[in-house]
Amino acid sequence: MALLNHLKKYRSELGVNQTELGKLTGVSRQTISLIERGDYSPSVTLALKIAKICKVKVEDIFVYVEDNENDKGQES
Amino acid sequence: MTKDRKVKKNSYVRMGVIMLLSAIGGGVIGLGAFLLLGDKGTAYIAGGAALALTKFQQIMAPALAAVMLASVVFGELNLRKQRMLCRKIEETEDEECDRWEYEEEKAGAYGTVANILSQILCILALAAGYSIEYIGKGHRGNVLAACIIFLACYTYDGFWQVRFVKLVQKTFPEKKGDPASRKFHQDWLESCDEAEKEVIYRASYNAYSRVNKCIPVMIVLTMLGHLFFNTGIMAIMVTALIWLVVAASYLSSCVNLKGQKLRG
Repeated sequence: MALLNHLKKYRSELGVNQTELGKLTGVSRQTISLIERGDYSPSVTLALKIAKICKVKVEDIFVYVEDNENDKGQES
Repeated sequence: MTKDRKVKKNSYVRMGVIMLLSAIGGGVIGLGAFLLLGDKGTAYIAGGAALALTKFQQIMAPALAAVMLASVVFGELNLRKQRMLCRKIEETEDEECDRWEYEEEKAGAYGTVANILSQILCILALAAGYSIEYIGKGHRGNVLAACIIFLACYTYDGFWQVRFVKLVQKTFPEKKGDPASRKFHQDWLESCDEAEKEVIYRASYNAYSRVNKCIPVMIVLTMLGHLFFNTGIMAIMVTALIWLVVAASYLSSCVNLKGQKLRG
């Protein structure tokens, strides 16, 4: 099970850095960095908050991928 | 289902084997220690330990001064490094900032461990002469000097912790808590976001697991000490009490948290 995300892309489109996005969402810059790197899966509340700030649907930023699906993707 | 039952059965067998092997190991170590040390051997080691304690009592004050000097030098160098890292954190953004934040976290951890080590060494050094019997033998001056250095070192260590927390709070203003307050850990945790809380919870569980592995070994050591060198049951009692407090605190926290969720 993996949660992939396109947060970095949407953040760039929004024109803010990690610190600014952190302030807008009420979390630290480090947490935004962890999410972007895929090292931390945010709570539903935080994911919805981020999506609202980026003015997109939560599924546009976060993509759930099954393990075997992920493996296949890596092989190809 | 069959696999589950097999696993359960295996757990009983494994636990039985571990207990049997521990008993055999204990018996072998006990017999080996008796054959190796015997009555004279234990008396020899006890005599050596008493002599070492006497020698250490004589250098108690210089030892404390050395600990304090090392603590001050390391503490100041560490804070200087942390100040430099905090400046880098403030000056950089995104991925570059990640690196400096990690370095700062590492430097803070080293500084905190050194600070605690300094306090432990101070206690150990002072404990050598911290007895009415020793003071009564005309060593008042030595113990008094040791106590003054001990207090000075402890004061420095305490203030170092406050300076460290204030430095972190200056770089990360969202972090709350007064280091001199008893509610510091609670306030600090409340000011952390969800990812930071996850790190704290995972680290706390790891610490709990390690303590649970260490304490039984320490109890065995204190019991062996009492068996061979008549070190008294105080150490055994205190270690057992720490074990009980750790387990009871963890379990009561689990039950309370689940109860809070049920009550809404």
